[in-house]
Amino acid sequence: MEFPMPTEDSVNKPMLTGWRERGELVLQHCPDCGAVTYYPRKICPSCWSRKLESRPSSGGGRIISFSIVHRGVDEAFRQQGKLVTLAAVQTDDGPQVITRIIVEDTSQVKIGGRVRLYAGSDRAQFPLPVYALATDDA
Amino acid sequence: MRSDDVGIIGYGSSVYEKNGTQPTFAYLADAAAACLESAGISKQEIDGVALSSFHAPPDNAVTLGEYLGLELKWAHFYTAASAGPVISVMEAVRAVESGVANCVLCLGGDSRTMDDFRHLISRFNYAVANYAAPLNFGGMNGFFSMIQRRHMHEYGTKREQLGRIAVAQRHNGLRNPQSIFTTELTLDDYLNARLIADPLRLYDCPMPASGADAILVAPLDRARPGKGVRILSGFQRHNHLPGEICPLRGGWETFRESLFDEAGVSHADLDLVQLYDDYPIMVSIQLEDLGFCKKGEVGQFLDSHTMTFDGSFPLNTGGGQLSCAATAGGGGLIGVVETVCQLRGEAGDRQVASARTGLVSGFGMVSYGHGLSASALILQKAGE
Repeated sequence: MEFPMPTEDSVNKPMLTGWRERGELVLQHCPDCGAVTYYPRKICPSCWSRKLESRPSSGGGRIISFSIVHRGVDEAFRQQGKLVTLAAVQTDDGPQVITRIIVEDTSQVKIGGRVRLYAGSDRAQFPLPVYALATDDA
Repeated sequence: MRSDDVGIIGYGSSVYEKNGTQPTFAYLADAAAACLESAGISKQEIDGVALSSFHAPPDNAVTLGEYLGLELKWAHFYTAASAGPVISVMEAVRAVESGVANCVLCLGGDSRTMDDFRHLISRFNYAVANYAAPLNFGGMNGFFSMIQRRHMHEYGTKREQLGRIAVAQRHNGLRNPQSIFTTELTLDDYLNARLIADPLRLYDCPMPASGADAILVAPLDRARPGKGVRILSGFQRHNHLPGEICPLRGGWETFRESLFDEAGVSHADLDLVQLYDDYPIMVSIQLEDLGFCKKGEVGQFLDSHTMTFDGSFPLNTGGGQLSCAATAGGGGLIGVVETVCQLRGEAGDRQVASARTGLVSGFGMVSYGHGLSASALILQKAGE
């Protein structure tokens, strides 16, 4: 039973390896129009510049909304049967990301709540950047 | 895209079933045959086919033509998921008006099981497969539950209000002999159903089904007497709100004014409305975006109306996807079929009294966080 995984390619490799090896959310900055992009693209979706630069996010963000997902789609996840806190996060850097909040007590998750990139020692089990609730309200 | 001379002269559906018992093309063939019967047109006259289907690929409109024994001048396969079938009707009208084709069958449908559905959803497109599914995102239920939670948070929308849509649609669906649902749904059933993706519960979510729908577009003078339907206006919009992943609005707001202006009708002139109902929250957002109420005020709108076929706001009068059948490729066409059926006065136990004018919407191509494609048509009984 296989878990769905992102397919690594030349465009998304900086993002996928940035998370896997350093726990960073790597975003694409456009030197021509200033737009910051996620998910990874070949050209800037705002101005079509071809000079996108990969840089790590500051790590902070705010919850736009979230869901407690009871029923997964892929069979491998369904067999695990775990609840997932899915979230839409507005990063401090600009782009919005779909992610998960890694949290035991889901009653602590609030719209508007601050989050930081998850830094737990088990983060490698997540193939894409995920977040934890921020301890301060920075 | 208004047309005075070209419109809809037939409609039809296959049987709807929870799990597919025959191939996709077989459902499409049944819908096509029923459609031609309703139109009184022979198969030899069909020279255009538009197909909307999720599971048909690598098949397409051309290979469907082969299966149906049709030689075609015009064949299109639609890309905007469940906004596509409504768009295919607009494009078929253009094809007939321009003389490229004379008689176009617009078909939508799929044969599938729950496993097929889950496989499709997890790999729906590049962004979903690579940047959402690996998170265990819960499919479209995950995305739309975030949208519903945000709408409830920002505007105070209540589940008791959203549930009125689901309950009314079940009332309608039980009066539609095509519906796969057979039991009443109460507001308590809706509110207390098992959680799927909190705040979404079971009756917020369409149950994947199999089946097909068909619409025949041709010159209106070919219609049986009193059975033609005109297209007063139609619009589409894709990728509205770039970069937003949990928006409380969609592409309908970009063409709302043009849709009604071009049709020359007001909201009050509509006798029935079919809104794409993947979830009650998306029906609600469309009610706002299409101008039936102001943004954020849909809760009060739902409280003040009854959405049954005989109520103050007849909505998804055949039960829609939530309470008739959600057949993937046909899901975007079921509202057109229902509207045409109603305008022809052929809706039996769920007939809206003196139905003359209706609105149908489409919605689809959920990618990185929300549905990218929106469409809508205003239809009117010809000769009115």
